[in-house]
Amino acid sequence: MAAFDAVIVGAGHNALVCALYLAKAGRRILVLERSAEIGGALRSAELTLPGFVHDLYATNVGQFAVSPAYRDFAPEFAAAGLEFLSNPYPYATALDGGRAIRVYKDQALTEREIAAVSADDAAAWRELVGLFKRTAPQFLPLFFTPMPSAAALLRAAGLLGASPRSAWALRRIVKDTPRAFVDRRFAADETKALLMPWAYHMDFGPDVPGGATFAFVAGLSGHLRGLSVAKGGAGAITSALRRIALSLGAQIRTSSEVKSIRIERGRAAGVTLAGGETIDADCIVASVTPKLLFGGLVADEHLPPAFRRRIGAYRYGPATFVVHLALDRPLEWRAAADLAQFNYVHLCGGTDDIARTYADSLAGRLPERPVLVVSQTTPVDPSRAPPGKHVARIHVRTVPSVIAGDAAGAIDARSWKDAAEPYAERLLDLVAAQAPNLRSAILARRIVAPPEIELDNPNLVGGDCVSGSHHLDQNFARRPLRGWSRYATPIRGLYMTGAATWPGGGVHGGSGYLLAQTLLRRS
Amino acid sequence: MFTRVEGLKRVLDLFDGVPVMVTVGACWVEWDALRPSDGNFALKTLGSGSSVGLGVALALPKRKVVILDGDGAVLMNMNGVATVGQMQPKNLIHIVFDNKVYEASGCIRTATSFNADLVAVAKGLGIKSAHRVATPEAFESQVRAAFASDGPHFIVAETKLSEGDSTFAYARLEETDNKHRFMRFLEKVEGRKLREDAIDVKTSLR
Repeated sequence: MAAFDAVIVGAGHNALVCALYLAKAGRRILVLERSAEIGGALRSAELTLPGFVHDLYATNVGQFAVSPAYRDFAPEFAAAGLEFLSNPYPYATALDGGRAIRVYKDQALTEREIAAVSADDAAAWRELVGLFKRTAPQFLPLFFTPMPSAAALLRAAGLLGASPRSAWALRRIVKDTPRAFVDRRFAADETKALLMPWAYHMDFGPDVPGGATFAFVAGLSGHLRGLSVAKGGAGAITSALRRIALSLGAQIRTSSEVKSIRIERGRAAGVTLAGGETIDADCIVASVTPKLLFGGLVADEHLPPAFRRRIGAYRYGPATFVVHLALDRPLEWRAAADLAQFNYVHLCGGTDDIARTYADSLAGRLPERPVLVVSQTTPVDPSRAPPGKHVARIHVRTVPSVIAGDAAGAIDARSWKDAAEPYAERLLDLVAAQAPNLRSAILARRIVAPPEIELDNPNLVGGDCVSGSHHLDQNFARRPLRGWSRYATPIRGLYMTGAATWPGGGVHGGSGYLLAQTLLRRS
Repeated sequence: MFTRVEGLKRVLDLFDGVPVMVTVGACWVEWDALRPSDGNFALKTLGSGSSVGLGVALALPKRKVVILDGDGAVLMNMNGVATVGQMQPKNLIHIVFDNKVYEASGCIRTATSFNADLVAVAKGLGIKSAHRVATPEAFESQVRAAFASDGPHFIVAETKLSEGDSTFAYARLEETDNKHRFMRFLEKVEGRKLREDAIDVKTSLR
């Protein structure tokens, strides 16, 4: 008998969620993490000054608060001290000319804000909110349903049965491009600029089909539920997961790099670590992105050639660039004093600007005015900084992984090592145009460019922070590949989890949860 | 010959409130598992142990300060040991695990596997209390003696290669975090501000 029922390679949150369910069912679990820190893309650290806690990657973690894992382990998470915080000011878009348009949790306030630019848009917004409220209870659970499956089909049928009109509208949203989605409903550029960035948080340029789903779901749930952060840092979720996993008897080893997955007679038999140590297990769960798993941890010779070819074509999205800021005081936005309270302020220009940024990112050019997500976390969670001080983050969607040029023609550097500083200056200029006190408020900053992201976490290939494009050909029943969307692989006993598997990127533990259900049902 | 873990386990009780500078590699992984604490500072630059440890020891003269080092690291920055010999910090304990190879980079042999003698080096640089130990019992008694008397102390422990995995992937983005936590650990155990301009930080955020 092998020493472990399951060895889990990688300690991202999906891996840990999977470990929780398996350990609770009495399975002997070992989690092996290559890095010195667990958490993958769900970590926080004092990156700038002492006492200033920054979320490295994921920060808006509200999905986790409504996930099955959180529901099923609610008492344990509470005992671990995990808390989610939100405020009445979810998101806004800062517009050219020092104006802004804001989405409050309060619906009447939001409608009034939109009515100020267009009365028709306010009505259309109300209609969209209605559609979300009517359909969300049916379709949100789809994200925690295996894909494809009879259960998913039943849910879709239930949606159709409950309201054919709503179902039809949803069906169109699933296929729509972000541009078509907003143009179909809204007249004013301002209103459109509220939802377009949400599709771009993934890698949906305005004209990519399928992006409307993200604009609709993230935009509307952000409006109605608010954006949530984890008290003390996104890493608090990771710490809680670790604590619960250990208390259930799972073992976690850090700085333990798996070099290969041992396959005997077509079946995964164990892992070999970088130092040569071998560990046997009845089943291996790889929370490793396809590029590193297949042809990396699993040698090509074990894979059917057709599968190897298809998985080799798995596509990563453009990169992310982040500037973490420690601030002496809140930003003073020209548009409105209360903008400093908003969890996310998007700076994105209009639809055509986003389209240009997308084309530039794909072509290797540094975008002239990229989509900026300015996260202001301290108004929601003051524990992230010493009293009276603040943290903020400029999260750039998107930049190229490899620089071929600069769309603005100003930066000559072709390596991120040399381009990171001047590019950060460009971003600060863009924000300072809206919040003039930005530079004088900065106590310290930390720039994280794509190569550093990939170095920190090799699963974020090229600095793609969601581990693979979420375009329609790689989502739903096609994540990561059609025929392999239910966590199994061509190797018996080897399973995949993580953001590259359904339901994809984001902090919800959906993939870890669904895989655990599958494994527990099988044995 | 014995393993680092065998030796360190015997003296763990001495380390309450003790700041420990640790060379990265398997040594860090093992120590951080034995004593998980914000008081562990990862020395990412090979050989910086003697220099960083000296600074901490001079700043906190009433507190024992320990460096967990490797032979390869000491050889990489021997001038730090010379400065320790010059400054004579009474509270500094420099433990060097001598496995005679650069273990984390493919076990290339170091000078100690040929002719170099680190105890003689330390003595030559002015550290009178320099000792070599080859058994866990001797390691324990030498470390206990070092904690109980004025130094500086320099202990070369002849250890075996790691039994497990010797690779180490440092979480680079957490480097600064490690520094901030370490500073906070020092301020907490000392019960005072260490820097005039230090920001008033809370004791624990996570």
